[in-house]
Amino acid sequence: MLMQRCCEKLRYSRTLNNHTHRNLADMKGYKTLVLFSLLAILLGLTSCFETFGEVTFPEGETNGYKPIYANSEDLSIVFEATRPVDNAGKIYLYGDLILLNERFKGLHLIDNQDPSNPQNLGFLRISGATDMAVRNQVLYVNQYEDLLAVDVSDINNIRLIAREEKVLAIDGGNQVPPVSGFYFECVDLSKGTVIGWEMATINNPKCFY
Amino acid sequence: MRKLIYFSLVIAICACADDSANPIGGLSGTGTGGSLASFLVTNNNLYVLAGDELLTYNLENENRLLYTSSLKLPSLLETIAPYENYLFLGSSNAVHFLNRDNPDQPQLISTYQHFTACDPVVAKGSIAYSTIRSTGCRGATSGPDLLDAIDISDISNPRVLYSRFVDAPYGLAINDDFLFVCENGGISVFSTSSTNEPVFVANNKIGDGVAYDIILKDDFLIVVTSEGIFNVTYDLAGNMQILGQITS
Repeated sequence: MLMQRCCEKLRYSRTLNNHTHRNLADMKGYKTLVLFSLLAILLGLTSCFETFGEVTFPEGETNGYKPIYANSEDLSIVFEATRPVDNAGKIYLYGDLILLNERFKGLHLIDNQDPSNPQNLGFLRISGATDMAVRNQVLYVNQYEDLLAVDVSDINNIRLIAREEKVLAIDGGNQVPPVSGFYFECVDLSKGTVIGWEMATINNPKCFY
Repeated sequence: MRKLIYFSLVIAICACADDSANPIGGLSGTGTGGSLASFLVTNNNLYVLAGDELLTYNLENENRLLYTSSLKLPSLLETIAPYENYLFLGSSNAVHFLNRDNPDQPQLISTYQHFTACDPVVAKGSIAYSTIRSTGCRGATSGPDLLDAIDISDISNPRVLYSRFVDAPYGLAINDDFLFVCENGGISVFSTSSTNEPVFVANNKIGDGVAYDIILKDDFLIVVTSEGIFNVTYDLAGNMQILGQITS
């Protein structure tokens, strides 16, 4: 219960931080907001440390969530060789073709014409992808907070039709992992904006949601 | 003559290579998502959930993204499903029913409230079925996991008909035979022939993983689990059999 409250505070502080991005034009207001956000984050963190005192954190390596920061990822879309299904996400059926999301990595393309013998055709690498839909051989997919329209009529000549930047951004939605009940690597704002989360082996986690 | 045979062979090989290289090339129209989808394409529109907003795009101009409207709702939106002329939005504490009389600008009709949880929705006849999962759902405290049947014969006034406990439910699907619910790691099969109350028929484990979602395809189910994809058939006793799979 206490922890829940703590995370709400953290969420509040990040919401303010998000607003700073939207008020870039007003530099004066921006600076005030940045200061205010930093203050709010500090307040949030302080209360976190207090409440996190009740959680036992494991030493060394453990499974948990790790933030993905903007600008650290290759955003190109490439059709590659098959890879193992590791972190299965959402599914989409287009004719007899199954698209299976590998969370935050891309899409497995599976030929399901013979349901007793489905064939893994390859992997469409789209970092940050978590959901998709297809119409007229155009794939609509997210890349973290961007919405993309991608012409996939020729898989070896993929063409980006449109990129709507940041339309899927959620105020304060990224400062904690998508699922509660896990340790996570604390967010380091100096590394940039958090654009997503991935399950990973993390070291000496000091945050929990 | 021999040249002709070689030539035909070359053409045949090229054709095969082309097919496998362009898996999407021969297809047209729209596809189908699972019940956990947050993206939906219809004839001319793309609907996308972004936080507490439904974003609508028109795709008629050479498949480009023409933004037409956004609708803000009072909770975090998680799933979107089409039904007749409606859209069902599952959210963190309610199911929202929208009409798309103007597909570029859907309008809210009514809301079915529940406690904080995750909840995909499907419907058949005038009854919507929603799983409400508190286990491992963001923001949820320790509420129960439920399968709700909601009367939507008057969609402006949705009423709960029946609510039963299930275990860690995820996606669901419905056809004329059964209601299929990803639950308790596997797929629970319910009969909906007596209108109000889904009657439990069987639970099936699918491989060794946890079943997350289902897409109905003709006479079989495509199931995504933590291991990968399974094609699954079922008999009228609700027992399932794996036809084929892609895992690891």
